[in-house]
Amino acid sequence: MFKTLAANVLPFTIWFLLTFAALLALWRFISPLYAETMAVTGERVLRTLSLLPQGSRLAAQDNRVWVARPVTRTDGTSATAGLNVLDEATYFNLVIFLSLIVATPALSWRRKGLASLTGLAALAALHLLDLYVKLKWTAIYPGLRMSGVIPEPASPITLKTFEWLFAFFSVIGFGLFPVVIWIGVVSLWKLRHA
Amino acid sequence: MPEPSASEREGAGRAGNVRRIVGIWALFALYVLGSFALLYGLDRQLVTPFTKVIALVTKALLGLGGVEARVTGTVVATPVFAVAIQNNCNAIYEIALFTSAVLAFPATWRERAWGALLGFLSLYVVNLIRVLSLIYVGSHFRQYFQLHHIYLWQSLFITFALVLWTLWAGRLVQNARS
Repeated sequence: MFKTLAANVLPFTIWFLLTFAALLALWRFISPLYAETMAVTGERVLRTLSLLPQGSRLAAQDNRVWVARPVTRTDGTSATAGLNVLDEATYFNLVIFLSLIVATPALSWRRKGLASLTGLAALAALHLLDLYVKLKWTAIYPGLRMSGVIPEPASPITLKTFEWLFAFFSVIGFGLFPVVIWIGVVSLWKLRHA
Repeated sequence: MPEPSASEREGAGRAGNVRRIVGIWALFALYVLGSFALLYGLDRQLVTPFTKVIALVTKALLGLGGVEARVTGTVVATPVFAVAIQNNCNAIYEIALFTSAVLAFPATWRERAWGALLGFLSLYVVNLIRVLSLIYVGSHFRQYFQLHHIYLWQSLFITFALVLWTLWAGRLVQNARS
């Protein structure tokens, strides 16, 4: 695979840039649809797994997924807080992944289609995981007190785990996930059909 | 003892390939997690000073182009625009990813060292171009800043790292086969 790709860097780059430009032009149509899908799917999946706190709801707005959840203020009063838990800057890596698939040399269009579906499903699952990590971290974040909200109780291990997961998804996830999934689906296909 | 049939040999070859690829993936995952833990754990001691150097180099390059700039921590400010260089714009995590991929790939330590050095230098230089271009876009075409910052550069930068690694790995595979 690496040899084929290394020998076809120019066509790979041209195909990548063309697909990237086309998807970027279509992004304004793709983005709200994807945010809506993530909000609906996220709500169902998290509710089924009992990971969405009672009274919380997910909704898509402005190409982002927001959670509306009940919070208790430090003065003891209750309120509903709205927080962004998935934005375009997180899920735009769909475009990177699809551009990589289209640009992959020595792969038929049918196989590119199958690889795209498999990879998009994996990427969407990671976006849902990202959404959950943000949902949880923004609920237990100790700094919430500074803005007058009492954070949900969490053990020191839970706090540390979600702090690191949040950082991992925010800092590395965007670039790492599409590339890893792309190499994964293409290598798997090559192995199975070698 | 009977000779293994062609299909048995093919099956064994495929199993060997699978083991080899799983091994590379496992190593890559290990290096990625290890480098992330190191960088995130040493954010103040390592990442912030690294980012401050980028800010200073950017200021120097702007000065060469006749643009006056000030640096405060990791913020570079020109008379018309300012950028805060953060973790997603300092290339350090991308360099760590690239190095992890280089270290995980079967090669000699000498080849890996060259690969890591090539990756570090290339990504550092391209990142400086990214920061400078973002300052330029922010100064002259502010309405397109987010487009460049979030969509274009983030995506093209990671793709550049991937292509660079592919060229390095592809060259090794080619050499091994010839």
